[in-house]
Amino acid sequence: MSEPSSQAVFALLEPSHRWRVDGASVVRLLGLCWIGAAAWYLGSDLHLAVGAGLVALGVIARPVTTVAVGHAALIPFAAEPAATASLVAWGLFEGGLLLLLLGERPTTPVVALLTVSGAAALAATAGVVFVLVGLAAASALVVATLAGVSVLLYRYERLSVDRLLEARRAAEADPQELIQ
Amino acid sequence: MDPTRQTWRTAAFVVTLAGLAPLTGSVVPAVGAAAVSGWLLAAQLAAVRSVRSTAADATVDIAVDSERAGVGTPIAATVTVERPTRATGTALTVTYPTPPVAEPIREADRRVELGPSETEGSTTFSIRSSVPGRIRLSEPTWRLVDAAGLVTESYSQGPTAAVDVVEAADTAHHAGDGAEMQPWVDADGRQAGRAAGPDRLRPYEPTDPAARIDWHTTARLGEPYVRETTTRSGRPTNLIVDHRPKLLAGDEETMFESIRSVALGVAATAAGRGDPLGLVTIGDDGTTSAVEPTSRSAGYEEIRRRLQELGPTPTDHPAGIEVDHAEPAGYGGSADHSVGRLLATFGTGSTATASPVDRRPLVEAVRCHQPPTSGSTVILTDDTDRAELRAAVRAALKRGTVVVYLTPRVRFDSDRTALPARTSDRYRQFERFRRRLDGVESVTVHEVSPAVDGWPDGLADPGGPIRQPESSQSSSSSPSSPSSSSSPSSPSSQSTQSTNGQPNEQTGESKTATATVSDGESNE
Repeated sequence: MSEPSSQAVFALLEPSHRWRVDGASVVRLLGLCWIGAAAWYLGSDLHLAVGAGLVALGVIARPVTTVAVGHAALIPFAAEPAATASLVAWGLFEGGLLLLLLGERPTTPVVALLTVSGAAALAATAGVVFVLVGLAAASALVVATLAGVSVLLYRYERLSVDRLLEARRAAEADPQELIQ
Repeated sequence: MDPTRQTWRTAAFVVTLAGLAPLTGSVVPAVGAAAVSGWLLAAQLAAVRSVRSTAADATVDIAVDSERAGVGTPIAATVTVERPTRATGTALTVTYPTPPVAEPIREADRRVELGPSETEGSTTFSIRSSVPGRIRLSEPTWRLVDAAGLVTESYSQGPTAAVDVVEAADTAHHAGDGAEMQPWVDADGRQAGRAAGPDRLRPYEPTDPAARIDWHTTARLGEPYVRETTTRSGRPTNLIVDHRPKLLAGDEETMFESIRSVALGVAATAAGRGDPLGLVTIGDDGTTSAVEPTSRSAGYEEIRRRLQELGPTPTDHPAGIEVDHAEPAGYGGSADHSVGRLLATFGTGSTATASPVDRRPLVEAVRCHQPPTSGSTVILTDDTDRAELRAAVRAALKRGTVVVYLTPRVRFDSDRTALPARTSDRYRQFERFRRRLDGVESVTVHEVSPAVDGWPDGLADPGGPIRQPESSQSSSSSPSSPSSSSSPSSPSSQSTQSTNGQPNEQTGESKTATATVSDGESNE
């Protein structure tokens, strides 16, 4: 007797990066348009190249992948953090990337709100640590926070589901108790 | 809950970006890591909520066509998974495992799949076994994935089901008069030996031990065959038959008539196997008749005669019991009990009377008339006093296994004006009670009912997990004409099979007593 495989349940999910007529695709499209417009507005060859590359990647890859690659590609734009031009270029692209990230399924208001607030809180905390300690510590804080909260979430889920199942089993009373 | 590859990939993006920040001296990758982390945490939180919701509210149900079938006969099992709209958002599969002794069933047939937005699904598959025994469908395995494909969860939970696979040849025809079905009993009615059952050959199954292969037959037929021998258990069986006036319910056939038909079948089977058999009959005022366990032909005949002559006790009948001692040694139950003392006093073949002893005669009968050695108690009654029945089963379990034949009052009520919904609800309550009692270790509970055609309106399809009534347990014979019910060729005859003290070789279960009551044709 073979154990039931997990492949069947994954087959029920459509690949998240596939375009569909739904809210997620609309938000994603808006993000890509924003990035394209920012690149066209900034006008330099570098901006146009990065913008075109991100739009092309965003069409075929998952939004979260595009966001990660995009932040790596934006490193040259913020080489001089004090320069206004650099900050404007970074900010314009950052807005598009954030919109793109919200297009990652599941696209629900709750998830969008949590994403924006969570990212803002994490970035702010990392910024404080960056000022006080340094960039390495700020980066470590982001990774540690993600790992720690995830572990807590997984533990909570396991315990709560176990309790739910126990409660359901208890509801179907033990037959032995019938004659006790 | 486990992370998927997608989760690890996203976490890898975060780590890479966080690592790039100090390497390049730029805050941009760190901001990107914070943004992706924020999304990952939010999506995981949503996943946890949806998984919990599904685990709490989704339900699975399994309904089998029949809880009993002959060897090789397919039984359809329908699995239904439902969940409310608030529990959507996860993709889930519910898969029942293949029973160990059943023929392999494709996983796709045993699986119900629901997409993230679907609320209901079902599948139907056939269970078939080429060896007798009890097939158990254990709890199904649930696999959940959130809509984003970030986390998976799996657990086992849900209803189980069991199907008794009985031999289609040999024992299934032990109906009616056991004297006609004793090929291994000599002319004097004595057993020919301990390994007394008739041999039977059947094709080899992968679960059979190699030592049971019959090499002569294998060589002759060109494929492996095993030889099965039916052995007597030697363990006593005590029949406790309720014939109180409350069993008079029923129009065309009363509850008592149904019970008596089954009792005759059980007695015939025990006689056919040569197992010691005792009889205790219960009236409103206590035990009305008792025959100690006997394995003599005369004893079987006496029990059969008493069952045939038995009728519901009149409400104003004089109190008293008739006690017969066919084999008095060691019989009498609790020595400090009035009936026990009485039986001990009259230790030789005789008839005696005693006063009523308890307001719960069934319980008292079980306590006072337990077999001298570990054996089986077969109780035949109705479901009107469930507390009394529970107490009786509890008492009977102290001396071995218990088989209960139970008539649901709702199926004998003559009130045709009752609302179908209420009737179905009462029947569901009965079935729930029967299943719970059947779930007790060493206890088997069967329903005894008239044929499905005789059901009141609205009861024919109660719905839910019991929407397929156990038609194979129907009692349709006329107990007033025992000769007709004893003929295996009669389509309305009952066949009764009782296997006492024989552990199930396929499952190794501790339920050592099983009994089958079915139409004569359905076991073919």
